[in-house]
Amino acid sequence: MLAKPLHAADFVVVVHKDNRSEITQQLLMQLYLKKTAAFADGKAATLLHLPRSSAEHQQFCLELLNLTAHQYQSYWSRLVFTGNASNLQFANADSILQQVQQNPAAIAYLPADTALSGVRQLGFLRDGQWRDAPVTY
Amino acid sequence: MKSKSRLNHQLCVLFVGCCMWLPAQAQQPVSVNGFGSVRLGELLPSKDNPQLVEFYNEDGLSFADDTLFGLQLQAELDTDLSYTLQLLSKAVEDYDPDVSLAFVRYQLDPNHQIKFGRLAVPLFAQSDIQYVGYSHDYSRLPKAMYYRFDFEVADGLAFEGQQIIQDFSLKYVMQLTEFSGNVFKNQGSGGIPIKLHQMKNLRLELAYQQLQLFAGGVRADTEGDQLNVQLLEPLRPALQASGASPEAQQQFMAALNFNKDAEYAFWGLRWQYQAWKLEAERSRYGITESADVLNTAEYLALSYRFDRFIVTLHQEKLAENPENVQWLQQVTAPKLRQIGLNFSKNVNNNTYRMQVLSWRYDLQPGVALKADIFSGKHQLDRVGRFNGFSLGVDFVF
Repeated sequence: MLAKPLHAADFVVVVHKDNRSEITQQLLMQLYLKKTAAFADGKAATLLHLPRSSAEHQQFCLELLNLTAHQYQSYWSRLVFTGNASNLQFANADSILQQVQQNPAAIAYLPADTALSGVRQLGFLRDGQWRDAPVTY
Repeated sequence: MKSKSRLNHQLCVLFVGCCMWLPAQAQQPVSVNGFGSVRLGELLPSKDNPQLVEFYNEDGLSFADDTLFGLQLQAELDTDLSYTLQLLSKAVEDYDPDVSLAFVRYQLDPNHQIKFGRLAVPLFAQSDIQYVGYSHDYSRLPKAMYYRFDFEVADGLAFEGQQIIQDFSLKYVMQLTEFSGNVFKNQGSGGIPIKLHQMKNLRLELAYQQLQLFAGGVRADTEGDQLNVQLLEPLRPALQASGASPEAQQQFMAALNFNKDAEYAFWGLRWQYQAWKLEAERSRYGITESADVLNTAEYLALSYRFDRFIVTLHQEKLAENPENVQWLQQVTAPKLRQIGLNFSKNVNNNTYRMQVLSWRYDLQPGVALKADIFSGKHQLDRVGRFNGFSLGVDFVF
């Protein structure tokens, strides 16, 4: 049986394999807007992003936050220049995967067709809707 | 002024030195960030210049009013401790840099922190980012409210936190600071020194999905002896000529005295729905029971986003009612009341409304081009209607 093609806007959200936190769409949004800096269990979260100019980053910002990537950067600059956050961290998918494998605090989104290993998948985002289950095809 | 320039020059050299030296020495990352705005604008026609504070007061095209540069050094001393140093150079002050932030931050837990040092005083909802043009969609934050107070930074302590309550997020900021410096610097002579003691500030932000409600307030004890000397003492000859008794004159001066509580309060909302954004804020402030009547400022803004292009229309209004002279309640002599009323009309006359249409175009990450046209009306007859425009670029790095 042939797998259905992935939806263009599917993202999986991953954390370190030892991170047992659950997440809702609201909490994911609050994390990426730094309205909270911690997972549900109170442990600090470190956000990772796909490259700033990538179509994936732009799509993720729109789907989750209803902001363009430019607006997201504009929003984040408020946090940086009040001394409340560091710069956004951008990396390519391979590097993100590596960082999530090594950093218990890391959380990242990746294109749904990324081959995942050594990380825990919290769920996936499709058409702006969060599903806390492994990505389905 | 010259000694301030020398001091700030030395500060800049030290800052740049730190920027170059610390990243190489520190084991933890040191980040250097910056922001800036370069904007050209003009009021039309210039002969009707309304003399709004720092708002295209010069005749003709001007780069000075909105152009500024900021540089920030932020370093993690360990996982919980960090420091932030920010310098701000405004063209209107001939790029003489000021320390706009200088604090140590201690992270109590992921969602709570204390800051100690020079802090931005959140007089209003966006006061702490008012100079970071890139962080908002306006060409400048509504002038009626964000007209650049001299005491927008102060030294002290802050406790900041945020909490998730079901689907709501709540952010709270509490500050206790002291300010010592000059006000009315824009009116020449280096300004008038005042002190604001025990500035107590509380700011709350409640967010649910795309809706944000915010409110806050500041209360401080004003020590404004020089304000009294420079603004009130010139009234003495008129008081003596009125024939009022010395006791009545004393009571009159006590009523106008500026050594009282300064109070600021603001509240508003921000709501985003698909490509639309609505933002509104209102504030009331002044020195209570003094010759400084209550000011009210407000704005209402509606934006629409076309991908990289954002159009915003807003109306802003500042009102000072010079006839609101409750502080003259204790003064019964008609001649003295009239002197008080005349004084109030002279010093409390900044009432205007303005409509502004702004465009923002996100050219590339960290760079936004902006333009606006504005039209307003000031209550002073010598000002009346005014129009203008500005073009510029805001950036961060």
